[in-house]
Amino acid sequence: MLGQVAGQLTSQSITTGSIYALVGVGFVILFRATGVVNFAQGEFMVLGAYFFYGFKVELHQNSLVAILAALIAMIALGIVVNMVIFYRLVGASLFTVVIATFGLSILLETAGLIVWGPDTRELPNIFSNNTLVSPLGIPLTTLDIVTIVVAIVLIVLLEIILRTTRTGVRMRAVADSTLLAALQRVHIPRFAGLAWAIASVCSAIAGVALALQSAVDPVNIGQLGLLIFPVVIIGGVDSIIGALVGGLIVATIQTLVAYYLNGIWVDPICYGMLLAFLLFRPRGIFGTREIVRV
Amino acid sequence: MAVAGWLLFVVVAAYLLLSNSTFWIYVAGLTIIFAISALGLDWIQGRAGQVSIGSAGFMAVGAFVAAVAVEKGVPALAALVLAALAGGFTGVLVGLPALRLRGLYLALATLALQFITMALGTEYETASGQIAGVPALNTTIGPISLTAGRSFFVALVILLALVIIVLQRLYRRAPGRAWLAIKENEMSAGIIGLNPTRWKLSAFVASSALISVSGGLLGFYTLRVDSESFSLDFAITFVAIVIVGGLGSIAGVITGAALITVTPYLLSTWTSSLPSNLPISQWLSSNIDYINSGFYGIILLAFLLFQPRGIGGASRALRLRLIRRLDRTPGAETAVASRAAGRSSSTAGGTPASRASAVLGERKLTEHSEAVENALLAVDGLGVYRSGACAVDSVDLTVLPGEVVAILGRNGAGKTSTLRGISGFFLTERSRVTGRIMFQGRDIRGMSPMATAKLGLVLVPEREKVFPNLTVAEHFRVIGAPRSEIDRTFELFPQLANRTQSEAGLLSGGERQMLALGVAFCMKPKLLMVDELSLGLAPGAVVRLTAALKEFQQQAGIGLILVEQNVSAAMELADRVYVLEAGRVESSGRPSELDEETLLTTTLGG
Repeated sequence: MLGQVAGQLTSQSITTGSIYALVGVGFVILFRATGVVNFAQGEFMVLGAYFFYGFKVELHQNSLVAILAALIAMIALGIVVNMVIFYRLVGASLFTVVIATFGLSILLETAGLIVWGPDTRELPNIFSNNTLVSPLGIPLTTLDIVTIVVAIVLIVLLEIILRTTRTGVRMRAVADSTLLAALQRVHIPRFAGLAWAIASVCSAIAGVALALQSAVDPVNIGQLGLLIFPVVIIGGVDSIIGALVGGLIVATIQTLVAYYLNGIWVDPICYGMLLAFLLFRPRGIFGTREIVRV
Repeated sequence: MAVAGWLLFVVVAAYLLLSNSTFWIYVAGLTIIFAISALGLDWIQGRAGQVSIGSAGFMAVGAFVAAVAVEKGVPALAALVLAALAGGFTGVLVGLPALRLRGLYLALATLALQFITMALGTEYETASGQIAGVPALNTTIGPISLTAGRSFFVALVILLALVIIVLQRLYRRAPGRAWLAIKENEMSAGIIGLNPTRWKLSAFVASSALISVSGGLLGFYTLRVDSESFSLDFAITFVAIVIVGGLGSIAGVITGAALITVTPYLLSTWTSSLPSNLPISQWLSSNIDYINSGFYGIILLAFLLFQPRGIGGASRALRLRLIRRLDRTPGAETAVASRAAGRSSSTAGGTPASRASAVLGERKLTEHSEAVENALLAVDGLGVYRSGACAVDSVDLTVLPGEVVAILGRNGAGKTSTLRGISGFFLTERSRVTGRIMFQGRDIRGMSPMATAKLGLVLVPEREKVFPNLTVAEHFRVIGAPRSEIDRTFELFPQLANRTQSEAGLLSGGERQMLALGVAFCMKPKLLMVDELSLGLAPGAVVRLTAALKEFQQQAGIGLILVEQNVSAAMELADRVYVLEAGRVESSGRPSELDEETLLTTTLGG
């Protein structure tokens, strides 16, 4: 049994870790299928939370309708982003694509500010914030459990789809070689759009989960998007298991640093680890591909 | 051109000074400081080809070092020198690993620098009790007060002019050429005696120092240094400046800095001048701050999509077009034409033999056009240009229904590019295909690889012929082959039947070729193109694959193009042979008609 502080920190690490893992999986799927390294992940999280807030609070829908409507909106956003921006940049240099995701991130941030303003928005408590169970002295609220279960179910589901369905196999084919897939009559833009939709949904669910844990905070949630890089580089940029492990590692560091040191050191320490991995194990723990060599 | 640019620069500066507008002089001074920082970024990115998003981090280093030094009683000029040193040193720390790592390394490392400087800055501010930022008040160099105002503005104008002159000289002379060479191709730069490590690091250190100095100036200019202001968004502003301005163009970068710095102020002024009864002006006035804060991102995206070379690149293209238009006198035209002719003959190798074969090719043209009528594939004057370089100059080629055609030639003769040209490129591969490609009576030039594959033109590429992370069985799922077809393939290649669950990356070279051919067979091609069937395979495997290919081709009655370096393997299968040399057809005919000795010299490079 863990003590009270240790239990609380563990609980927080696991919950946040599963949220990061979900975003990381979306990132990995997008990177593998399109080669896009997405720095706009955080804004996708923010917008997902905003859409949910809009449907739930502003349009008074019930939670299930609100989450479904938000996800549909995010799928549409992902597809539009692919068609308008990234479809035109296929084959452009990695740098161009990265800068385009920065531009996209600023564009989405501006749109969010115009529609919803800069203020933090409170979501009603959909799931109880009281401790439901405490296995091994780790207190977990209903919300924590729902978050963890949803994240893990989604990750496993995505892995199963990629492994077993024909669409999944073709998507992995695109990830392996875009040219060969095209030569075998795979419609590349359609699969890129699908990858964007998946990444968008993963981020949106993570954004809603973070917003339920605290609030719809555009600045905070947007910045958390950048922690996805340590997550996927440590785990391995093309590995789904890697994203899971990387998510847990980064969330644990974040929780411990914020508790014992100061929140402002979370980013430098996580990025320090990222650099250490780039220098000494660029494939990450579970990866097969390197992001730093051409 | 250069004179006009300088003139404009001086006129704008003089106009601002005479206008006496404190506000616009302030904005112009800010623009100059940003322009200096952006020139530093262009140095590392546009000249030395290293990707950095660390501008805000380096500026924070310079700003904090300078402000703290001044606070401790160091004179302002010395403080700026310290800022440069600190920036250069940080540049070494961040840049050293970049010599070994590529791609995203520097982008992520500079992002890390960004976070570290922000955290350190915040810690310093908290520890010293200056939560609103470190003050940098009353800084002077001699008679010049380094706070916003006329005297500092004049000093900044002169400083920017000096920076421009020094950078122009650097870029025009040996260092600039060395950076360019390394940016274009590091390996060949090394071969001609340049030390890429030294040059890359020197560019990174010097540009970091310059960016840090601009950070120090910014601190003096705005009277305080707060870590909050050196955010990631701030860093991306400079990326936006160099992209919008155009990488590698000093005038462009300065224009970009002006555009991105000044526009938000102009927009604000314009919005507040709108009549307030319009609905749009109400919407604008409540949202103009958000639009302004995101302006650089929106214009950055717009330029990336529609004008990726930025203002500098666009104006260069415009100037070229103007010159060409002015040049269009009769005499100039023939000069251009003869120059072009000289170029094309030099790419074709220019030997007497190749010129003779060109004449021969013309004679063959009449023969050729008759065959085109009932050909499966008729290629006419095919040219393939890959990222500007000519890979295939002019190739005529026909494949009759049920015919096996072999394309021979040494490395770099244009064999693979011919096949890719027929099958099509992705738009973004920046390749150009000229000539006419008729497949079953339809011009397929310019179609994507997927579109031609749908028409029944199947290419088995030389290198990436299988998906390394997919199992053998999954390869057949990609194309959606029915069970019966797969079984037939396994009968043809029994070796594959035992390995259905292993990943293609773990197969031997022969097995990979079997898998690639098996998949191609299942796609029911009308014309199959196989690039280097025998390359790197054991003789036994080659025999088995050749036999299977022959059997399939005869059963299905399809057209087949084989690209080969292995002359004997090709001669055995082919009905007709084309020999390529330097992007042209050197000779063609039935295998029996071809002189074996010339064949050997052209394919093996005698």
